[in-house]
Amino acid sequence: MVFNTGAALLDAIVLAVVSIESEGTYGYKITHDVRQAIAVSESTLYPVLRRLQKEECLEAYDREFAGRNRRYYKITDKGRAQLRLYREEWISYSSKITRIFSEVKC
Amino acid sequence: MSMNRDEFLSELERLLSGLPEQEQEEAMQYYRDYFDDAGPERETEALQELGSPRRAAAAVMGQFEKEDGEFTEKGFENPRWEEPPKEVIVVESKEDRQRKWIKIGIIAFFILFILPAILRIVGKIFGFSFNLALTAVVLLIGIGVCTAACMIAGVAGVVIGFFLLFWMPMRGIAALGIGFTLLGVGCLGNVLSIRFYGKWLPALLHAASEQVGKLSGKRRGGAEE
Repeated sequence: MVFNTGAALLDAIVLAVVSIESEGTYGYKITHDVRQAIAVSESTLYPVLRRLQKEECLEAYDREFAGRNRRYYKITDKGRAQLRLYREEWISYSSKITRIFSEVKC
Repeated sequence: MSMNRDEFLSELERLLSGLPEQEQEEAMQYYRDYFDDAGPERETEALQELGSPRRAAAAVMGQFEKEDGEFTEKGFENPRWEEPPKEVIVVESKEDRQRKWIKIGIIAFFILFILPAILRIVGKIFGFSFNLALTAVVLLIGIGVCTAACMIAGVAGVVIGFFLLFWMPMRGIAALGIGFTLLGVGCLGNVLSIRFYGKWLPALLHAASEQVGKLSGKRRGGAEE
């Protein structure tokens, strides 16, 4: 990717990826889902998840999986509100950029 | 990197030992999960994705150093990482930009100092002394100045001539004639200027910059050999 992903956009993508799974999702899957959209290293995602957790946008809980405890993340109401905001911002931002590009003739 | 999962985790644990216990456990749980979910068959891949334990530890601790702002204001940038983060790809790297400015600097230096010197030498060789350089400079500025002067004088002549018509018709006609002639010359000069400043000069500069680029390219290639 030639374009940088800022912290806010990364937060938004992570929130979106987590919100899609109503039952909650886990770190490895989040990483791989986020990677569908942007190239991001694993060590970047943990702090993002942890921070979103501290901001009460995500909640973490452990669930038994294959004989061990797996850490799951689920979006909270606050997180959902934040995600809606991000989504609106993104739609307005990206449509403006798209409009400019659509006028380019080459 | 010939490190396995257990080595990675124990090294990470050691690096995180300065953090509050709860933070340590959170992070360790996360990274342990990551390896478990990747499974033994993708362990090498997971290790590659995670980078070194130092980098993972720096990322975990980055969130406690707000003044660095690595994960808040500045996005992914973290000056404390030894390895550059993979996801930061800038279209024009700092080096490229520096190289560009160096190039511009070289071209400016060339035009300001080297070119007159070369012209002078060439001029001397051909017996012109530095008249040639002087001619080039005069030509460079002269065309524009002459055109502007012709236009201004032409307009002035026409205006004065027009008013003189009522006073002294013959002189007025003469002034008008001179004015229109000057305007004509000015218009020709305009066309020439547009060609000269718009096309020939940029082409000349472009050719010069390419020449310099080739030269510096050669020099760089030579240094590597």
